[in-house]
Amino acid sequence: MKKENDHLIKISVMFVTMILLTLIAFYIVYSEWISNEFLPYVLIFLAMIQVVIQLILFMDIKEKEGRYRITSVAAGGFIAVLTIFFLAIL
Amino acid sequence: MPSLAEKNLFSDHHAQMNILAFWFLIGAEVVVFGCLFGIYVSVQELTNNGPGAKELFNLSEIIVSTIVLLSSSFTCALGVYTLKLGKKTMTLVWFLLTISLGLGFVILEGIEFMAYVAEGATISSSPFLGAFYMLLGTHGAHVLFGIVWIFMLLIQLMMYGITKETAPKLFIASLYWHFIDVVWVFIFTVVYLLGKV
Amino acid sequence: MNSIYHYFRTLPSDIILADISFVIIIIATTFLLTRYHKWKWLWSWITSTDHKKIGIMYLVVSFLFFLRAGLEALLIRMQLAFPENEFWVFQGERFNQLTSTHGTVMIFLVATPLLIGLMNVIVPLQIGARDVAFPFMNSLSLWLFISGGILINVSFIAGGSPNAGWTTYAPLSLNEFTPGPSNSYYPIGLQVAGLGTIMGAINFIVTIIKMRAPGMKFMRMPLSTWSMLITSVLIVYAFSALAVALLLLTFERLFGTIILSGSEGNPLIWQHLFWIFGHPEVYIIALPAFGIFSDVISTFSKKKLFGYTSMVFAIILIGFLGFMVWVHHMFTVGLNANINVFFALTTMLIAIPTGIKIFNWLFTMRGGRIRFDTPMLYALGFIVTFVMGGVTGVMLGSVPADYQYHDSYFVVAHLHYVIIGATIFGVLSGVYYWWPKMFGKMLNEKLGKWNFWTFVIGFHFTFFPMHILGLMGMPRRVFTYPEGEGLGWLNFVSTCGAFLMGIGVLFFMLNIYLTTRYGKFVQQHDPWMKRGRTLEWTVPSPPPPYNFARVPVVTSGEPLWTAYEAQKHNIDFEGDYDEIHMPSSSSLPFFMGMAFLIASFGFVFEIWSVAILGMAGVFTTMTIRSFQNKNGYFIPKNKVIYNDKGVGY
Repeated sequence: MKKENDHLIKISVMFVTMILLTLIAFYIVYSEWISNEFLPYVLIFLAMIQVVIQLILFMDIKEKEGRYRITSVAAGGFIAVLTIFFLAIL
Repeated sequence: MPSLAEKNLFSDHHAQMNILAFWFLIGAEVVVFGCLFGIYVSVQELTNNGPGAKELFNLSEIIVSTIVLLSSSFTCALGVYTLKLGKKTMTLVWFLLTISLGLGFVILEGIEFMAYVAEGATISSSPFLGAFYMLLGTHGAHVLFGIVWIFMLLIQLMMYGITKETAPKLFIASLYWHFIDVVWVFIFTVVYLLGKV
Repeated sequence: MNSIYHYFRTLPSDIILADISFVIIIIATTFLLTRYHKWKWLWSWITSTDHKKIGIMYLVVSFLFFLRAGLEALLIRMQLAFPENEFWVFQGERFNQLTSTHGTVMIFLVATPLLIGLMNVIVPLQIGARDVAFPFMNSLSLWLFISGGILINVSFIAGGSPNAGWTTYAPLSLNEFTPGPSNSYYPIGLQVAGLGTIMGAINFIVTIIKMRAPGMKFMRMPLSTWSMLITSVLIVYAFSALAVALLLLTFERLFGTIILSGSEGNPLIWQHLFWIFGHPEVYIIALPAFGIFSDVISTFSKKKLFGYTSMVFAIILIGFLGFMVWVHHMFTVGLNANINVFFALTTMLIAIPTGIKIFNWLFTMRGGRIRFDTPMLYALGFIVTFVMGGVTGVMLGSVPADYQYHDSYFVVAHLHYVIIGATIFGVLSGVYYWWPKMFGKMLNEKLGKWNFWTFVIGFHFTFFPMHILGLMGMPRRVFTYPEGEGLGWLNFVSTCGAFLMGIGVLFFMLNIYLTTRYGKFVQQHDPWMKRGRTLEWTVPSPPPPYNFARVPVVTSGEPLWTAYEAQKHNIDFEGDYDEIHMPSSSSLPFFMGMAFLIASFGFVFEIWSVAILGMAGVFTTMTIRSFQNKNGYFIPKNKVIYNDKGVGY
């Protein structure tokens, strides 16, 4: 039972973290706290943390046979980034 | 209702195959949304003398719908947690809460869109708005589909209880739900926050 | 009533002919099915979830599409046979429709599904599985492909075919320049077919990862299976990019977005998205053919495949690089020089793994005891043809030269050399090779050789002159060319070659007809003179519905050959006979496909009530499926034993 409780606590903590990250991102933009130059990178970084939390904790990406799951998402992500890059520089 | 340990629920060969297949579908969906983001990023400056991101969006409204959707992801994770413990009623409650929050999100998005249209910012006003509606619309359609899907799975859960058939289905639906949440995190960041910069 | 009369009065003669042949085919099919009481038999195929039957249906339907698009090719060649020619009605607008549908049908509805169909039959057999991972979804893939195919094919007689080229570049494909339903058929029809293809690919991936027989490690899989695995991965990612491109075009045409418009938006977005899909698509239709050739060459040389590991890594490398080269289709749009150079380099890099494969095939044959049966002939024809296509590919990959070649007949020659050279030769080779496995009868060798020589000679006569035409400056997609430019005789040669290819296809059809009608059943599991090496030759021809009565024991990369070398007739199977669980057949995929078809018509003609009706049908069938608890049925133990041993029933 202890293991299950641990999991519950983990989920809750991570949920609070995600909300916090969202609010931080919101606040950064709202208060114009960081210069425009770095802002996109900071915001994308904050988003990436949330994504990793979701993938690992909520979606069990590292469970059994995780290599297929990770490969699938990583390959999709690679092609998505490639596409976004070349469309963005149009 | 006998409590089924996690192993028995998802280790069935067929359930394993379903889950693996769904991960490849997620891979495909990553590309789908990646391309939609690409389109959006590429035309976000082309406002055709209409409103741009800065003028149009109201961040304080968006933050509400963001928190609603993030919470639904949390309740969904709790639903899976109780599902693994074999608690049928709690699973039902958490997933119902999930789809209610999802519905709330869709309604908020609908209100937002209607406000934009009322201002004259329609899908054909500018490339920027076209890409915006396409990206958000595709995401919204995914949420809507998820709501209907999970609802039907809940009916099956009520009918048959937590079995080797229903449990993997719900787990896969939860993967889907988390995924559309992930997409929203990016939409919130790229479209709304960066749009304001 | 009057308007209908008027409609028929104003139809051009080609459409009237198409209408009439359409009606005749429908009546004849209905009559024959009723006459021979075959409706039930047809229904059992339509609802089947057996991977072998689904594969055969894929092959049959895409062969029909192949005939249609081939006929279009002949019409194109007729129009281009002489300078300033005016053949029938195929000038201007009509010619554009011909080339557009010829390309679209050949790529999406012939090349891709032919290979998927063949692999559907073969892959589960090669890995020792009883079926694919998701038999229901397999059937659904088939019916989505057929719905999309019907939609694209019917466009000719209902509202006009797509006419903006097979690439359907914006802004030509937008309402502004091509109003009416014609170009709406393209994104909507392909969307439906593409959805089916993605499902099929996921099915293959999971089947290959999870359903292999014990002992069948990844590095023991036959090359056909390997190439299909990589191809499926490519499909999953490339077709989803296509889905977005098509969605975008649908929005442009139906819902009034202006993202691709020339004045406000950016038409280059379409080109990028299309080619991000389009170039991997080239490898999607080439890699399985490579796999087939690897198996065929090894079997008919009676030798182990040379450099198995390097073959596998070459496939993976080609798959990866395939995603990194798409801009070489867009060298002339004016992106900056650094981008062009980068993509020129990646393009030329692909020649390396491809070269590895070519040399491995040659070394496999070296010192082998080669038999020149039709599958092997096609494999040899492929090597020669594909090398030529590959060389022109590298030429096109060089940016400054590409400014000369771009949109000329040189490109047409190149793409037909690689696509026909790899895909069509590959499918023909594979069909001859596995025909006895699929139907239990050998195709006639003599007719096979006639088929091969007419087809291949015709092929080179058709397409080799196009290189020269391109270098002389003839642009593609034109319906005529002036006299006195020296283009006439080359075009005439090309037209003659096209008809020779047509004769080759007739030989093929004759072969199928005669074999089916008069051919003898082969009794062996391995009808190729005991040269078979892989698992599909260890089961009866044709295999029982469950493929393997017991679990095959896989001890090497070529289990059957290992058994032969140990003086055994067949490999060992382990376990006791038992009843076998089979997936139940289902009519839902068929109805879902039809619902998609109805919805698509609604969208194409913008009749929203029909579209909503169709989508309602789609969601209804999905709901029914979700609630369905069909658990399949069992084939009893004594029947399995009887089938396998011929005794004990």
